Amino acid sequence: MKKKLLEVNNLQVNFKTYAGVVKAVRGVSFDLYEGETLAIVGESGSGKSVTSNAIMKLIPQPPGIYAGGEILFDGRDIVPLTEKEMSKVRGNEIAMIFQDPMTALNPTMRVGKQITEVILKHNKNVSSAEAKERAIKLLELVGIPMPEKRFRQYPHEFSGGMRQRVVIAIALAADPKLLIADEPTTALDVTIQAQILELMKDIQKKRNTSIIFITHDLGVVANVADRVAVMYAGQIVEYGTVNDIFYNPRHPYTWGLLGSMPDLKSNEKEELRTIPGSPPDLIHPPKGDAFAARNEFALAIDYEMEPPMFKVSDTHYAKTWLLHPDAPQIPIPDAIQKRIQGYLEEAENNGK
Amino acid sequence: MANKLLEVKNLKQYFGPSNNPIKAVDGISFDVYEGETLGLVGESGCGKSTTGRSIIRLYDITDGEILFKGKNIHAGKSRKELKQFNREMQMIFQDPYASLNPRMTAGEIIAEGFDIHGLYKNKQERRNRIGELLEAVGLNREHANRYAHEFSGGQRQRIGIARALSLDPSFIIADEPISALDVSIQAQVVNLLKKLQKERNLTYLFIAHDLSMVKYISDRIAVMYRGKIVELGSADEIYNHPIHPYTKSLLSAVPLPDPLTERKRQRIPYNHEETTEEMKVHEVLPNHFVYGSESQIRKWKK
Repeated sequence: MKKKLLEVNNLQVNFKTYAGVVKAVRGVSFDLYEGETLAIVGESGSGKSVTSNAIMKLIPQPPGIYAGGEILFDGRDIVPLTEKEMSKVRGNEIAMIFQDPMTALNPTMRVGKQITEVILKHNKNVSSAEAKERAIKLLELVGIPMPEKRFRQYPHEFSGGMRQRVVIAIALAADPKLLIADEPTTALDVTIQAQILELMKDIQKKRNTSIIFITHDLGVVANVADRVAVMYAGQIVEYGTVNDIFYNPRHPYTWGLLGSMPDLKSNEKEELRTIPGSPPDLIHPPKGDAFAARNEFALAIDYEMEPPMFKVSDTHYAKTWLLHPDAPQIPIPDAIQKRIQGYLEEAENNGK
Repeated sequence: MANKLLEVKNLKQYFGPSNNPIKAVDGISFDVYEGETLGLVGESGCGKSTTGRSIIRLYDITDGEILFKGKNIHAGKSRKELKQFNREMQMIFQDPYASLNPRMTAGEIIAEGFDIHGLYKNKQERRNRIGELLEAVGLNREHANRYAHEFSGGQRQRIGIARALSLDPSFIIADEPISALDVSIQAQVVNLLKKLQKERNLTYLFIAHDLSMVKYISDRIAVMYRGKIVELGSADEIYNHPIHPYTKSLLSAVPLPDPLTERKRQRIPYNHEETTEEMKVHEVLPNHFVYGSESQIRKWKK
């Protein structure tokens, strides 16, 4: 069995605003093993970025409040750590890749310096010559040609994709065990996105790094993830292996997400399934199931009581009353079922 | 075959000094037929947005000709003709946060068009028309008095669409209208655009980089690369039988929500090849055009 690196238990994060307390993360639990990639998917405002920032302890306090729960990294709860203790964890143990490579780098500093800075900060006994050597190795690792020359250049001399590679190199500089990537490819073109995804998978294989990958693009999830957590309104509503989520989705919100993506493989032009309405206000989260108001399959109980996580299989859980033994049997909507069937048949044929 | 609504002939749009210009759009030609959706895809910097902006006269073009309903749109025009032209062609912008004036109510934003054109003298009529437009895009009449910040991203984009519809145009240029929106909201907006197209016989030029959405909404697709259209054909043809290596590379990079294929996916890298031969547009199959030299086309077709 692989070693458990991270365990998040019932994490709750609130933000104080003039309008009231926003309950951005409302009891999130998941775990992550060594060398594994967990994708967190959801729409903006679902709490996926707050969750990842909370693991890095990057929530500004105030206005942010850790209202409950624990984050066990290597068995140690990092929520009560002081800023000074936390600075030893950041970079060394957990590092982050940010969404926008245009703003994540310092425009007035040579790229090489931005990498050696991290190396020197985290290793007291490394000389600056050694740091430079390591930085050039890192640039090479992330696939930047002519690293010696690039080392001396400024960020504006790099293209978007190359800059994102530099950001990844910085994140890797102190050899972290956990990499949190918050929409690392959203700002990039598809061809560049594909390269960056390959790169991250490659690095993961070489260094056995664990990755938390935050995105709203289900195609990217299918490409990188081992396991997937679908977030809605500050909670994980479905949780399972990548195959569970894509081939046997159980939560109506997951159906909505899958259905709202057009299928590149089919030539039919049926209307896209949409999720009507918009996400709830998290200052006053609705009673019962937060998704009920947008759910065409909502039951009466959805408006009264919050559903628990129901177990679908050993790896697969979903938070919907539809999985209760007394609930009416509602199959996966036709359009999605047909698409899944198509994918599975194709995979089988290719396997032969 | 439907009528040609828009003809673009050898359009060039250069920026910067004339001795060393940046060739954003470098000699492209295509037609848009009445009632269809033409998708324009490519990576950032390939010139797709510039093309859209040149067509709607936001730029003075460097060279070439753009005919709308048979008339050259960049030729000298009287004010009256210009106004008429502006009514026919409208644009939907990418960023629903930046494209709406925060100091105006939704109603004022939508009505600005017909105030300029003096369409409704009577207050009652004007209010009715605003209400109709709001309802057409799935909002309520009551929303007319609200300001942009009171709406969500998807609702704002609906206001942007209502504004584009306010003058009853026949042609709409949608420049990445959904890329700033969440997945579930994207589908809502795309379904709305399709519905409006059916109801009002609209013609769209749909500019985007999200290939799966473009394939879904478009009848025909043009693929742009470095200021040129490298391949143009029906949506299914482009996706199922791409010929130009750049199109193949682009398609191979689109991630699909299907983990089993994704894990085995092989990307096809694209290496730009320079050739000294004459490059031109070839009609490889009926209505399927590819840009390249004779020998390249022969090689690619294999």
